Amino acid sequence: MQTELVGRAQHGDREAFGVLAGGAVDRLYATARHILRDAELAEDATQEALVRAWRDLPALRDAERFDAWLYRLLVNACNDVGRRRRRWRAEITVVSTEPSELDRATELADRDELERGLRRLTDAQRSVLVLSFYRGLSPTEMADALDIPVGTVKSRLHYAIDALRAALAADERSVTGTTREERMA
Amino acid sequence: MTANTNLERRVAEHYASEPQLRAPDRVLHAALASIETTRQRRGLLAPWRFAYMNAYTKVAAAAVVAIAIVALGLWRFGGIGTTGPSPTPIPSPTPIPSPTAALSASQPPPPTGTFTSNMHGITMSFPTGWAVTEATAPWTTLELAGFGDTAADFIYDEGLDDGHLFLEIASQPLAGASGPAWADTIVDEPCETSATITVDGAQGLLIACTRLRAMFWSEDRGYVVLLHRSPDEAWLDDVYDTAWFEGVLATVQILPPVIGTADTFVRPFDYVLPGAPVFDYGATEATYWEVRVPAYNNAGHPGGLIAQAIGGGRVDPCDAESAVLPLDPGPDSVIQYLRTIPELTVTNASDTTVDGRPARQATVTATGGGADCAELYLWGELTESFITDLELRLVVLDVDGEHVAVTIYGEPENPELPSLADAIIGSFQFAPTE
Repeated sequence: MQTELVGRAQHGDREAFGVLAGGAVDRLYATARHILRDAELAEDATQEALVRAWRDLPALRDAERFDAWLYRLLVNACNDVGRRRRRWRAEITVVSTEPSELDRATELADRDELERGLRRLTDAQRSVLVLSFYRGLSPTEMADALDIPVGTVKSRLHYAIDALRAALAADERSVTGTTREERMA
Repeated sequence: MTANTNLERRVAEHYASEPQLRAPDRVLHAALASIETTRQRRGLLAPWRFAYMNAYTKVAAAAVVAIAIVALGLWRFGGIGTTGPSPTPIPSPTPIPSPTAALSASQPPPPTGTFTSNMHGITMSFPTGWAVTEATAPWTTLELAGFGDTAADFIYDEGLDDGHLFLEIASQPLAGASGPAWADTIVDEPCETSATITVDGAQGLLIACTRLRAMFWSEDRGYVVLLHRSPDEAWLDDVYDTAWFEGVLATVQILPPVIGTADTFVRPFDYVLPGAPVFDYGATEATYWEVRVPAYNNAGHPGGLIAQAIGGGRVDPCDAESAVLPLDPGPDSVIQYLRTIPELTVTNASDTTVDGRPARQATVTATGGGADCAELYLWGELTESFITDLELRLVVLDVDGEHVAVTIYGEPENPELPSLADAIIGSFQFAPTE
């Protein structure tokens, strides 16, 4: 069914594309939201990914890889949106001390800690974590979605987890002045 | 390993416990509205006409045009959001034969679309309903690109014949020339009517003849934004006049250089990326930092830079599990190590400096795919296999005992990249060791 819709959309059928977009928009948005940690930017990235999907759909050779291809467009859109955010922040140095919407929604201390750790990662690092642990993609599927070798997926996951651990330790130091390991010693 | 597994499980549980996120309805609505005016890429000048549209999309597109006409009236005569006479009520969406036919008797659509030129480094607004073809090659000549050329971005009214009405965007390095001198060298129709202008704070000239051409310059780059109106359709001069073009120019923003810090890199460093072409980040990790040019990638010939803390070499570079081979201090030990690998061709080795430190650079090509050595793993650090069958430039330096290799890929295919890469590497400033 989806393959047929993709084929129709590739030939300019906007209604078919509308059905595909309607079926994908929630998971794209949720994925972007976890990568970018910002609702407004996630909306931009999702919208941008869908428009790029429509524009470039005729170039998709294998209609069965539509989902992976869509993730690739989304991750690229997140990179673009994230880059614009970095520029904006570089130009307007506003330091927010208000807790984010996600902070307010998060009640458990453990989730707070992990949330802060995830926020310290780069968008690229969060992308692999989100695709792997949130979306549940296998390394092969992630390689397809990110257009990189499976070995690179594994190494990026490895580094992302390392970076998260370092971020958690740094967060803990900033809160308590010492690490858990140091306290245990 | 146990610590990794525990943390992975914690991350998975964290995501699983998050509430289901739904996209606000406006996201899908905005995307679908946007594709109504977005042409699919089927080759550069493939036609897109009402003939391909079903009844629903005809009505929707006509509604967009009708609203655009009314919005235009607000934009040109009083401005949207200002007080004044009551605007004309928005008419019901009624199919009309052609947006251009309707507009020819009226006013141009308001510039409500936004375009970012990844190749030429500016953002600007453009008229509702116009299509965009992005540049896929740098502009390297002194002659302005013709409609459809790959060296410029084109934003055009596809309701008219190809090349009858378009905005063209291009830029190139000033290469040491002053802005006015550069503008003088650019070849276009002979025209002596010009006025000084300022575009996003940059000085420039507005040259008004058959075409309206804005040329402006930053410290090291010259930009052109041009409005072409076909002499075959005289009404275009009245509708898309100088005032309208100046309205578009007022929306232009020159993308500034990006000043950043690779603070997660094991040897943190500051860097500057040029505003044009636009770079994005492939990765910023502890031992791997990559920037690349999306416009090159979109054109099918990727280009970018990878900085890696290599952590030594490999005893057997053909074996992904091989032990690490420690390398002597200094950049030359890396070049010497590369010369010992039969699958590599290392040429043009020469001395250079990066951040005031001695460095070596060389051209490296790896052959891969053989039965004995399907992939090459050059570096001690866990990393992806080395790029094969592609000419690469490698710049190696020793940062306080840490070998850092900068791989530049895509230089032969992207003629602007060598100087861009040199400028980026030249901007590296490593943090002092504590």
